[in-house]
Amino acid sequence: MIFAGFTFLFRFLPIVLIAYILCPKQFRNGLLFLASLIFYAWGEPVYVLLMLFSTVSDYWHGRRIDAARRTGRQKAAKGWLISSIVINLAMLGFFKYADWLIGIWNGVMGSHVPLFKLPLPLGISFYTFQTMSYSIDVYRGDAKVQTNIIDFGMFVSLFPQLIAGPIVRYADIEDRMKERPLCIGRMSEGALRFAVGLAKKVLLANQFGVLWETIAALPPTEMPVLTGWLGIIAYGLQIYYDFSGYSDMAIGLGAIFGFHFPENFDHPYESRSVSEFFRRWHMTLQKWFASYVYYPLGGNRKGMKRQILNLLVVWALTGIWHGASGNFMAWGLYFACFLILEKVCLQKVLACMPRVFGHLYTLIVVLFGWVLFTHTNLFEAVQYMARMLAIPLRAAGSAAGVPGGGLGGLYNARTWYYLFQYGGLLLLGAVGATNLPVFLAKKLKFYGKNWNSAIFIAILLLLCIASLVDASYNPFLYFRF
Amino acid sequence: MENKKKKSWWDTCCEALPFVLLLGMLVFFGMWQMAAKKRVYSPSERRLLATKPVLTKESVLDASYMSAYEEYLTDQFPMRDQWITLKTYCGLLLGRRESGGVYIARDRSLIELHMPEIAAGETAERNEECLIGFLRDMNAAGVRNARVMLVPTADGIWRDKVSPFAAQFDQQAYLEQLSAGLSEQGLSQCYVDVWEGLAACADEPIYYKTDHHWTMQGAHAGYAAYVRSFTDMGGADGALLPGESSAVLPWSDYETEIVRADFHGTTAAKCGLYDVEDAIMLVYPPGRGTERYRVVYDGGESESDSLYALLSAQGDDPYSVYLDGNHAMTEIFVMREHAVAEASGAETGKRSLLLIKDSYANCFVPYLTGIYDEITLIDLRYYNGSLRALVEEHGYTDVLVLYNLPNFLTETTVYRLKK
Repeated sequence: MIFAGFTFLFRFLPIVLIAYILCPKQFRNGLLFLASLIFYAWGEPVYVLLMLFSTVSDYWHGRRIDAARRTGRQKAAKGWLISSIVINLAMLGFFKYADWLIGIWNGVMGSHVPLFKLPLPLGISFYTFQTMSYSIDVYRGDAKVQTNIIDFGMFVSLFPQLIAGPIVRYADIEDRMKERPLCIGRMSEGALRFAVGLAKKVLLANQFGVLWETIAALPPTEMPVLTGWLGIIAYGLQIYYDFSGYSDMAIGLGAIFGFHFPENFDHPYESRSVSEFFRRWHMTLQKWFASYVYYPLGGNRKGMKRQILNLLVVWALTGIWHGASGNFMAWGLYFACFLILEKVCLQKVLACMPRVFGHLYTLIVVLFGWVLFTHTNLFEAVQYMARMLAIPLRAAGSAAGVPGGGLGGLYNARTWYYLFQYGGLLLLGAVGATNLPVFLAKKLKFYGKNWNSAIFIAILLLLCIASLVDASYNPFLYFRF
Repeated sequence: MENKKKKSWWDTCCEALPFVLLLGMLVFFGMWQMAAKKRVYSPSERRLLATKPVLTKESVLDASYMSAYEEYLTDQFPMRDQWITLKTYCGLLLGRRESGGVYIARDRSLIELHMPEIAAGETAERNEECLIGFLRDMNAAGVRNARVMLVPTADGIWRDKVSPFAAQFDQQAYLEQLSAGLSEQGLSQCYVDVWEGLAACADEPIYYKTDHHWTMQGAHAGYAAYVRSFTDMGGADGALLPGESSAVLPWSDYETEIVRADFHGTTAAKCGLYDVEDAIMLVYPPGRGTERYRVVYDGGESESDSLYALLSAQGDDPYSVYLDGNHAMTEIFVMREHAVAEASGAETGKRSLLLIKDSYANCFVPYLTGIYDEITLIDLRYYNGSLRALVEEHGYTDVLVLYNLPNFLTETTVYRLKK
């Protein structure tokens, strides 16, 4: 089930909310577990078993690690931890990376090992990371062992953040597992947060997606420099609003159910360096890699050379976490280069320049990053970048007879058309990606007033319905002529 | 004390308001969706809507039940059309004048846009080839007048109503190229220059504001261009009616009748704007009643004595008032009371036309009954027979290919001209 769908909004969510409010306290975790399983099974009726397997496995491993620790058998505890991690990574590796690796193997060795061609189980990257965090935290003593499998199952499968994060570590919500009184103020905040997230996804991300897809489908000759930039800006806004919208919805739903989920985005496009950008972009993933990979590897405590190596490892992993494809690896390493550069010298240089340089530099680096991110074919990514930079590339397949080596100049009529058609939306998107709306709302004393929130929720929800209906609206006009 | 207590009760209510409102709206729309009468068919979209899927073990296991259920909820959401309208208005607020492939002009004409790519595709190339081959064959087969008339659509003739930046298919340039191409092949007499005729009266309502068709007034301009294509030839053997060959009556001489004043056509449906209305108009030549018709649809499946299917005017698709919409084959026999017809008929023999067409021809035909005694309309989307055999059998004096230009370039059944 997806949040931005009618089944979720007008069937699943109202039923679960009402049931949750009416449910006696001691059954609430069970209710959420059950609801989450239905939520997951709605999209993945078979793979839900995989998630249940993961749940049972990590629950059991957690108990074993804890028992070993209690009796002072450090080695045994470590053994159980390794077993837990191996099982999780094996699952992730098999379903997510096996075909990619086989493909590379076949390419290098010239062999013909058949691919598995299994569809990727929904949310597997998120829930395996969450369950791993649990085992590690129990081993480290950062979290208490969970002795109720229903409660643990609820943590693993909790539907608000199951599919698109934020990655909630067990330690983050440990204190809320048992005692979660219904607090009406928090529920209202959550409702507002949910509506805002839904609007980000439906009203903004989807529209930017349309613009990006239109531009991405243009033939190279029809894509002058500015259109290329416009396209990738649209993509950058799409991915931000899509992802942060989902996080907002998750955090909002979490608040309604009485959880405090960690924040995931903090206006990243306002950043003045790449390091800052990634402290504000998909924060829970960065924290996960920091606490379970970067610091255990020694972080920045073992000298510059080791730190650079650690950064490269972490970012290669961060890259392929996003998808089993070379371009994601390239994306991660691309950013690792800038992070290292900033650590070595760039940070100091930027500090003594006017602020605007930092902003521009970050935006440009990030936008080129998105080109890598969105093109699974690296060659196409390079082609697109060349177009943005007006570098003539004599590419295979480009029309030979086109003047300027397949380049479409700086702009054409279509550029202006897109700009006029989407100008208002782009402006809205750019402003919305900053702190400005909240700042203004606070300044004008709109913020935090219940009546204002209620009206805002109503407007956003109505607009979202209109947009969702519109997306399904496809006049069948075959016999129109 | 009591005052304070009351206030805190009120405060709690206020505090609950955002959450209660969200939940309330979700429940409200959910219940409304459940209670609302389900529709099988959406007139504005002209398609069948999804209905509640049947729950089976297989459909759940392969998740097809779930996607069908989502489709059902969306399709059966109450007030579907009004939500689209809301969406389009919001877009307009943000400066988006394009919605669902339709451009919303300042004067509220809803103009379907066509991209330049449609002329570059394989289909376009093949269709052009088939057309030229067909015209050449018809000339060779002894048809006196073979013509082609590709009618530009509103975004061509009314391009000044559309944003100058919209990357549009240049219909005028394409038609000029086609005309030149035909001349090269020695087929210049076959080309009907309808662009000029329409452009000359671009200020008139020659297209619907809410539909992609031309109006009867537009079709009249097309008719004038068609007749001109005969007289331009100097009245040789192509002359139309001896003595009155160039007699195209001005539009104002026709008797008109509005049968539907609140017509919302395809472009209105595409963008969901229903605040502009069009009129569906019937046109009768002066001296109405001197001609009688026998219209035979699909080789005798149904018959009518009128060019207009008046019942359709009140239905979902009022444009099908003209010749009852699209049929694979429509035969029209014109019977005249005047002796004039007999006199000229005796001289020149019966004139008959084979018209290969899309729906643009439906409102064009009423003008032709003064010229032809027999008209056969063929819609290649539904007609799969051989055109050559048809021509041989009937010995048509004239042949006309009439499509709107974008449709001609993208329609995949035009190759049947070869048959």
